[in-house]
Amino acid sequence: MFSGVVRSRATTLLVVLVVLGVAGWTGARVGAGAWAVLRADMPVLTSADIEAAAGEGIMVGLLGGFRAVTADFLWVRANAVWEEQDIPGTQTLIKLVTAVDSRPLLFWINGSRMIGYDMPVWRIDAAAREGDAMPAVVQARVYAEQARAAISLLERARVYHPEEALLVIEIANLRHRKLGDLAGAAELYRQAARLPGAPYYAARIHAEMLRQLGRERDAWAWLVEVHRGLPREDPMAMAEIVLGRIRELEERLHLTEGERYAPRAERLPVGGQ
Amino acid sequence: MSAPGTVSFSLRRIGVIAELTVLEAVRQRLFGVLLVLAAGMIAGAQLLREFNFGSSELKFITDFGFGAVTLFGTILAVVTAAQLFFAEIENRTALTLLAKPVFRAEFVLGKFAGVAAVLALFVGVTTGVLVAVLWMREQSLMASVPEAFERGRLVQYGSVVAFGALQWLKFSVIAALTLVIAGFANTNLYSVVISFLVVLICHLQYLAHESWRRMASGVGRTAAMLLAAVFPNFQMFNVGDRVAAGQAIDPVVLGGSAAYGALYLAVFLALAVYVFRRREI
Amino acid sequence: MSAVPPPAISVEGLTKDFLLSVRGYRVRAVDDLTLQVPAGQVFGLLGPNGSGKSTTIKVVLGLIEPTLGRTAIFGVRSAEVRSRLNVGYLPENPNFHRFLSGRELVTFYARVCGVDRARLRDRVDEVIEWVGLKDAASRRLSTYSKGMLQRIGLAQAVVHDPRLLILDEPTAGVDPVGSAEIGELILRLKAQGKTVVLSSHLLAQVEDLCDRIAILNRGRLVLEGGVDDLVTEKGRDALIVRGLDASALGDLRGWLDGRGAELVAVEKPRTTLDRIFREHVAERMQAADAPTAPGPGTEGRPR
Repeated sequence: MFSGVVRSRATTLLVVLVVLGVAGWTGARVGAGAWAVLRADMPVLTSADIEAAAGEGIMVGLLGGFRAVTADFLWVRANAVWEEQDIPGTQTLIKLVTAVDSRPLLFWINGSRMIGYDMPVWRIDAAAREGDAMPAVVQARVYAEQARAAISLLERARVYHPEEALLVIEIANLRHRKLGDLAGAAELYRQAARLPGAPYYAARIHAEMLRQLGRERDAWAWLVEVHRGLPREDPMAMAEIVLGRIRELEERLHLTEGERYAPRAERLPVGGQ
Repeated sequence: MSAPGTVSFSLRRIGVIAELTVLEAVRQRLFGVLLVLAAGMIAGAQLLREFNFGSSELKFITDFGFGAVTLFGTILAVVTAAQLFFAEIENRTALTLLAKPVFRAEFVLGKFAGVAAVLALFVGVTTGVLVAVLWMREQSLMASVPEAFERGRLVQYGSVVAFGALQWLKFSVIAALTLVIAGFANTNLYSVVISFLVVLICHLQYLAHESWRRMASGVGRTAAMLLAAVFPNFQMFNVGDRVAAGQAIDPVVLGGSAAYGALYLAVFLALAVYVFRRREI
Repeated sequence: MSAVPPPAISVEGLTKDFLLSVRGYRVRAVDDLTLQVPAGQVFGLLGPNGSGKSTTIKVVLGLIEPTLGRTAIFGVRSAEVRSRLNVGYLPENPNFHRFLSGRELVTFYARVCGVDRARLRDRVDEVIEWVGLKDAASRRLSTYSKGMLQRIGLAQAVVHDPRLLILDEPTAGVDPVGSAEIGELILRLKAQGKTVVLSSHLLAQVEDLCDRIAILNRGRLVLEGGVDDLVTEKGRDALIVRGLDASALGDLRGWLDGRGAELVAVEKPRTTLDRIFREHVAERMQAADAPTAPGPGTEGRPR
C-alpha cells in the first residue's frame, strides 16, 4: 500500500518532467526568433573574463543576468579611483569593466581617455611632487607610452565593435595629438568616415588633415565626393560649410571653371549619414 | 451561479481567493519593504550625478532601475508565492477553504492570481518611479548638455514600459514555478530555497543548451541535455540592456519573449494544479 | 430520488494510512470504519487523541483521499466538490487569516460559498450577531481570544446556511464559559434542524449536547449508539426529594418493598464544578460587560 503512495509521487514527478520536456521543445520553437536576436546581443563569456570576474566575486551578478548593472557598479568604482589619481586601480577596473560588459562604448572611450590623456599628466605631476621633475624628453616618452596603452584598449574594443566609427576617431585623435602622427590620423579619419553611422565631422577632419599634409588636391576630391552624399535638409551635415571649403580649395588650386565642382540637386548615397 | 446541487469551475471564486491573497500580501510587511527598497534604489540613482557621466547617466539610471526591478521582483515572486501558499497550509486555513465547495484548481489559481496582482502592483510602481526619474533627469540633461540630444530624446520610454511588462510576465512564471515546487515541498523554507535554485538554473539554461551539443557522449552530456530540456530559458526576458543603451525593443524579441513567457506560465500553472490535486493538507 | 433520504454522512469501510517516511514507515489512522450519521441529529465523534476522529472528518470533507473505502455527504461522494455544498466546517484549533477582521473573514467565506451579493452584508451581520461577536466584528483576528476565534469560526461555517455542520474539537482550549456558549449555539443549530457532527474528548459536554455518539480508538469503531440508551441504567430510577426525614425514609423503604422495588442508594444530589464556575464567572462577566452610563466629564468618550 505504501508503495502505491510512493508510486503516485513518482508518477507525479515523471508527469511534471515530461510536460516540462514537451514545453521546452515547444518553447525553443516559439522563442527561436527572439532568442537569436537576444543571444547575438549577449557578450561571449570567455574563460579569461570569468577568471577576472571571479576574483572580484561578481560571478553571481553575471550569472543571474545582471551583467549591465555589475559593469555599471565597477564603472562607478573606476571613476571613484580615477578621482584619486590611482593609476593601477583605474587600469584594473577599466580592464574589468570592459571584460564584464564589452557593449557600452562609454567604457572603452572614457577608459581610453583616462589612460591616454589623464594618466601621463598624473605620472608627470607625481614625479614633480617628489622633487624629481621629468625632462621634456622623458615626458614625451610618458605621453607616448600612455597613448599606446589607450590605443591598445581601443583596438580591443574594435574586436567587439568593428563597425563603430567613434572608436576609430578616438584612435585617430590619440595618434594625432599624443603621437604626432598626422598621416596615420588622417587615414583613420578616412576609415571612420566610411563606417555606417559615422558623424559628419569625421569626413571634414580628414579633408583638413589632408590639407595640413599638403595634399590639397586630394582634400578637394574627397570633399567633392563627400558633398555629393550629404543630405541638404540635415543642419548637422553642414553641406554649406563643406561647399565653402571646396570653393576655398578650388581657389588655392586655381581650378578652371570647367574643373570646378558643380553640385547637383539630387543627393547620392555615399558614405555616412 | 450554478444550478442547485451542482458546482462548476468559477472565475468569480478564483477572484475572491485572489483578492484575499492580495490583501494578505499588502498587509504583510515584506511587500512594502521591497517596494520601498526598489523605489528607493531607483530614486537613489540620482547619486550618479556626482560622477558627471553626462548623457550616459541615463544608461546607468536605466541599468540600476532594471536591476532593482529584476532582483527585487524575483525575490518577491518566490517569497510571496511560497509564503502565501504555506500560510494557508500551515495555519490550516486551506482546510476551511477547501471544505467549502471550492475546486482545488480554483484554490491554486486564486493564490496565483493574487500573487500575480501583487507582482503587477510592484512592477507598476517601480517602473513608474523609474520612468519619472528618467524623465526628470533627461529634462535637466537636455538643458545642460543639449548637444547629446540633437537627435531627440535618448530614453525609449515605450521600451522601458515594455521591459516592465515583460518582467511582470517573468515574475509570474517564477511565481507559478514556485507553486509547483510548493506543491511537492513540505515547508516554506524548502520551497523558497529550491525555487531560487531553479530560477538560477533557468538563467543558466542557455549555457547547458549550448554546451550539450558540443560535449562528447557521457554523463555530462546527458545531464546538460536534460537540464536544457526541462528548464526554461530565463535569459529570454533579458531585454533590458538594449533599452538601457537607448534602443527600442525589437518587436520580434518582444513578441517572442511574451509568447515564450505565456507558454511557460500556462505550463507551470497546469502543473501546479496537477501537483496540488492530491496533496494531503 | 430514493424514498429514504440519504444519511448526512456515510462512511463505508474507511481505511487511511499515512506514510511517515519514504522508507515505508506508515501509520494507520483509520481502520476499516463504517459509520452513518443520521440527518437532523447532533452526533458526537469521541475518542482519545490520535484515535482517527480528525482524519475521518478530513476524508469525509474530501481534504484527504482514503486509502480504502468510501465516504459520502447526503449521498454525494466526498471526492466530488458538490458534496461540500451543504457542509460547514470548523477545524480543530482554527488559525484564521490573522490580518483580517472578523467581518472580513466571514464575508470572504460567504463570497466563496456563493452567498448572494444582495444578501451578503445582511447575512454576514446576521451570523456575526448570532455568534455574539457584533462588537468585535471590526477587530483584527489577531486580537481575538481563543473562544472568540472558535465563535467566528462557527460564523464562517454557518454563513451559507448549510444542512450539515462538522465541528472538530470546537471547545478545545476554550474556558468553561466560552465552552458553554458554543454548546448553546450547537443546540440552537439542532433546533433549526441542522445535523451537527461534533468531535471532542470532553465527554461531559458531549453527553449534554449529543443525541448519538460513536467512540473511536486507534482508528477503529468501538461503540456507537444513542446517548440516552448508552448512559441510562436500565431498570433503575432516581427520585430527587426535598424535606425527607429519617422516619419518612423508613416508610418509603417499606412502601417500596411492598411493591417489589428496592431502594438502592440514598445520596445528596451534586452539582458540577463546571456549572458552579459558569454561574459565578459568567454573572460577573456579564456585569462587567454591561454598558455604563457616561458620567459627568466623560460624555460619549469611547472606552
